[in-house]
Amino acid sequence: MTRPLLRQDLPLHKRLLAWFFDVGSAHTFGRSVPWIWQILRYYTVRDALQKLAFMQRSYAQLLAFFGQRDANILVGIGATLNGCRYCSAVHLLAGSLYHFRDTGQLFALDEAHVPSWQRLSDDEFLRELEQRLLSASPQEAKLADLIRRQFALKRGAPVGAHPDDPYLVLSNALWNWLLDCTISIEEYADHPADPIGKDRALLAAYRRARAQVRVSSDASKALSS
Amino acid sequence: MFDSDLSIGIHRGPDTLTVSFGGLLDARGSEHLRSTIEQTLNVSRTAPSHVLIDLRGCRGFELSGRGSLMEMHRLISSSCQRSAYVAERAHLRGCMQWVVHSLDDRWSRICMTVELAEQWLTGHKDRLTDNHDQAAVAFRSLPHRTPAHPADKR
Repeated sequence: MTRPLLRQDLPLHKRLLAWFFDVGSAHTFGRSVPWIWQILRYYTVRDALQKLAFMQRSYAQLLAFFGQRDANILVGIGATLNGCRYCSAVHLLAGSLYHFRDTGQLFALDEAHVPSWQRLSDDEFLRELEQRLLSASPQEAKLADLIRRQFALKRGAPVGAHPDDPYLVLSNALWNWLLDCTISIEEYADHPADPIGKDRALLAAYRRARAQVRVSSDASKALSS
Repeated sequence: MFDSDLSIGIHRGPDTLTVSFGGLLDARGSEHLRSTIEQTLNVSRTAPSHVLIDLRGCRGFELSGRGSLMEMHRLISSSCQRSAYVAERAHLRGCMQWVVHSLDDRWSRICMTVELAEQWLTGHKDRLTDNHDQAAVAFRSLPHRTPAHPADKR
């Protein structure tokens, strides 16, 4: 059986660059990003740098257009649909952290549910998201609309019927491309892929709050069963 | 071998061999699918240009089936030009994406619908190039470069 390509299989100059990526991403996000070296398996150094720069420019547009919370949530939902556990968890966590920082409340979608959501059919998953968002707050109706449209575009709906389409298409396309770098990551993703991850105090407060809700949710399930 | 909870349908078009699978992709289900595809490809006089594996009837996947799925995809990629998988559950798409990624096959795509799979099969770019080109086109199609989102100006 073919052995998957490992980081140590890269030539020396690419391993050196991968090390610089690790240092750079740890500086930016608070922890190194485990997929970045994979881009060097597909591209020359020059092309890899160009692609990463394009990725950054494009992602900056998504953040500017949707806002940091919603951009991360939309990327996380798109990645969940792609079957990528790493990207879905780290972006849903980043979006949840922005929500927690700005409102003091937990966001309606818990990144720990990604594996169970991915076992649902696409229609069941969409219904689950809508129900969770709308029951949390009527203000989430706009995000629920965006997610519904994101689903439609991923299923091949014609582009242009919605003013947000160009940005949703860009988000879907970027993470479809990135999937070839991220699908093989099997480590547990518990750190946001976003500079907000450097705020250790916020991250710790979020984890405490989320853990309390998970415990009480488990307890109420046990009582009702 | 007869498996009452597994179903496999085979349809040969002019260019495309379509295999539909219903059931669970555990060790038994995946092996059943692999051996069916192997037999089908062996009896074909000419290898199909395209193979489409329809997993919409698949209930789920278990890790015990991954080895057979790898073997199955190796057979498919060595006998046709392009292939596509259709699944309506994200964890199945993730599993098949892992398989094609691990085998370094850039001529296979995992799709949410049959229409998208058929569109892919008639294309000519590899998956990585196709995905990146789509992102580049989407970036160029943005109506304008957007300044910072108002919610983030805190």
